Amino acid sequence: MKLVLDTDACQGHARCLALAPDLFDLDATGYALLLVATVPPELEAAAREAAAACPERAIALEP
Amino acid sequence: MGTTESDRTGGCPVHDIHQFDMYDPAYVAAIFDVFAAMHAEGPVTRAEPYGGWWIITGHDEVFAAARDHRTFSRQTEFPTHRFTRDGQEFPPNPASAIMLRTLISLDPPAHKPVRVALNPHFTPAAIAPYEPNIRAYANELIDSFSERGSCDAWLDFAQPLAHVVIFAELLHCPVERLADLWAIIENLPPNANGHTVDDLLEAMAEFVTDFVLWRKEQPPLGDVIDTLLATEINGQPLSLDVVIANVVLILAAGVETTGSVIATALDFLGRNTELRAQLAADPALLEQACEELLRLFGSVQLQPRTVMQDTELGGQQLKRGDRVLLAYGAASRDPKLYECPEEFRLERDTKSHVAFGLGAHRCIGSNIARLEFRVALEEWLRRIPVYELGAGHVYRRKIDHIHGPVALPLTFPASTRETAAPAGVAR
Ligand code: HEM
Ligand code: SF4
Repeated sequence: MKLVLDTDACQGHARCLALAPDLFDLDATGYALLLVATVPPELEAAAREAAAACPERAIALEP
Repeated sequence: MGTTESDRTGGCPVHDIHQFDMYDPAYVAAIFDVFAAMHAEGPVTRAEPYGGWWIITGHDEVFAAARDHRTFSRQTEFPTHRFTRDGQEFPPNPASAIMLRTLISLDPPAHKPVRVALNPHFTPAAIAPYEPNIRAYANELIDSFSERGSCDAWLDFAQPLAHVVIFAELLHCPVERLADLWAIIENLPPNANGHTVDDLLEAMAEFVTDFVLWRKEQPPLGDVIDTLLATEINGQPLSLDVVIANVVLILAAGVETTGSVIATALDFLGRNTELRAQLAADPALLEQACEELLRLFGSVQLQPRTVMQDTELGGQQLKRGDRVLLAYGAASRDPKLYECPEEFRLERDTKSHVAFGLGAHRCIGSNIARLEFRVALEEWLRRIPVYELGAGHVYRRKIDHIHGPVALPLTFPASTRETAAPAGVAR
């Protein structure tokens, strides 16, 4: 599973890192930063939750 | 669990949604009924007062408009700042004009450098160190009335807590100076319709100006104030009056908002005692409960935009120059998205609530607000798990668009203080 971040849509709500701190952080300007491109199997559930939690719908998951 | 909402709007008359007036206390008191009536008619409603405004209530439509700053500009004032109720337009007064140069009124791209400069002060990592201090402030405030067995949960708890968090933690304003601020707020001229941003700006300008000038003379702390003093747009530093206006914006946006959510939650839990007992017994539920309370009672109900190009939204034709209010409080109760939206349901999926807005202007302070809200309820329910709402509760609009209690008297079994020496947070 891959994570795709729409950097134009991200507004830095930080909901993704609240749910999946191993997958997301905020960069120095306050917007999301992907910590991994390919999601390890044990974090797939967290990745799905983070994508669903993004209020700007900026996170997509690709198989 | 299906606790129903506070009964404060129960039995109100049905209002004409096309005459919706965000400044009329009768509409404010019934705001959620008004939103429900708008939902029933469609996602975008025309309201005639103040020259005509589109009220965007649908979640999809708020999502689209808030994120499209090219079509929906934030360079906009609230209705009464530019229009009489019968639609006569007048020029902005100086206090309102300067707010148009602050973060919240700048459209991208001018918005971005200021926002990016400020963002690092508001991240979860930057805010996490506030937690023990917020907890200490909350307990000090509770100590100021716990032995008495009664308090006004707005005046004695939610409002001062919200103030001290922003002033002391975010802006590094010495706690002793808070007394000057209380004096200013208490001397605000009484205004039955709530205060406008202009009233607040005028009342606070002196305090904030003194504070910013004082901070300029102090060694830099690398905080929000120093960042604003160093921020440039197109190579030009922000002028001192714009720095001051941005500090006033942070106060106006950060204090009454969070305080109102805390007080509204205490009011709601005062009416829903089974839920209150459940949360007091299991504080781990509070994080989710806070999100559901934000969905229901996010204090920022309406935010203005101006239409920059003709567009269609929710089946309505909007024309360039039209004025719009994004009804965040309505979108978070859209029945298309939430079953029985007016009910508190702990297990509900709340992720898409828009209490903090969407798009470029989404709330910069959401991490502070969430932390402060949860810690305030944790400490309140730990110290005062059982209380009775008293008479004299007043809910109204404050500062244009922020809704919440301005009086919340309550009583509870008296208990002893937990701390010996107060640091002067209580008024
Ligand atoms: C529960 C409490 C709060 C609620 C419900 C709330 C809600 C909102 C909303 C809906 C917006 C978007 C405005 C728009 O779309 O036009 C906003 C923006 C803003 N909020 Fe909050 N807020 C809260 C707490 C705070 C706190 C604690 C702070 C600061 C410390 C703050 C500072 C701001 C600022 C500066 C903006 C403008 C951001 C920009 O234009 O880039 N808010 N808030
Ligand atoms: S939740 Fe969405 S908008 Fe917020 S930081 Fe994460 S990706 Fe960006």
